Amino acid sequence: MKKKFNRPIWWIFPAAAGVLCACAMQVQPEHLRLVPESLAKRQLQTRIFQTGDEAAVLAAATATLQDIGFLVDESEVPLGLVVASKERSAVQPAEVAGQITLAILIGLTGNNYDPVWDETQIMRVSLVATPVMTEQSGTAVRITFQRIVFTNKGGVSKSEALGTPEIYREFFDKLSKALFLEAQEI
Amino acid sequence: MKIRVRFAAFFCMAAAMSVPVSCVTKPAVREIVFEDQMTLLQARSIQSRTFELTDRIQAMRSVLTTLQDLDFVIDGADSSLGIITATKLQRYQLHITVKVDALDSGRIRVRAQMSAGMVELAQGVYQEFFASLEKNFFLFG
Repeated sequence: MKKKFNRPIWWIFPAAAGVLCACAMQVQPEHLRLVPESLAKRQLQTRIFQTGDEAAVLAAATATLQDIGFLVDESEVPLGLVVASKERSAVQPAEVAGQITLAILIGLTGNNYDPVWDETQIMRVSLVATPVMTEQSGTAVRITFQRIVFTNKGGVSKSEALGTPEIYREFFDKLSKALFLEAQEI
Repeated sequence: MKIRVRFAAFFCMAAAMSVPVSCVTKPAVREIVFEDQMTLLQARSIQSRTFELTDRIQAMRSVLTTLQDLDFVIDGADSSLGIITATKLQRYQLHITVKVDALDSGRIRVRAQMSAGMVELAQGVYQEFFASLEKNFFLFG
């Protein structure tokens, strides 16, 4: 049996796993490459409003963000930028119950287990308004969301970009109402 | 008794070994502040590109668009200083600072600096970022 593992073939798997892990722990060039999906995502995240008043669009967008509970962290009007964030609970009762049950079961075996669950999340949003100079003139508004979830031990359990089509649609519906203008998809 | 002696000997050895090891591995604060992984010129050439553009604000807007295309969320920007900061969240947190300057020659210089904490940047990330940026400069001017 021992001889069997002396064959070079058996060392390929751990070596390949090692290479994969090393790659996974690096920021790869393709993570900074524009791909066809980038355009689709851009379309999803952007709406054009039929007004050239960029300041009014920014003001309405800021008000909309405040309406949905975001606190404005930064703004830079010459670039049409607003950055906002909010902190909310990430506690899921089922996850907490599961972790506590696991801790009790492991405790019964004489070992220790420190239960860990998602506790808080910080959602961040950046919104950029840009004048549109093509045949469809107006002001383009693009919004991107991300969130970081922290555990009850202070660690990070999730850090991800957010954005289902519904989230964007709902945000732009609210912004349209705030502006009294019909938003057009790009 | 023997076990105690062995344990004490092991403890002393470990303590004795930890002193030189900690001296060797702990970098001085000065080295962290002024770290030079490569020469200044090398770093600048990898992190900088000059573009045939004239409008600095328009260039900054294209940088914002590119960063959003690449799944970054903008942290902040200062148009007077030409600085944009952003973060991309994946399995790592990639932070980027982009500085956009108008040169006396009438062109625009963009310098990007990226950091993902303990996660290394593979070779070619800056080239790929500038290639993406160039595409958007071409599209949006």
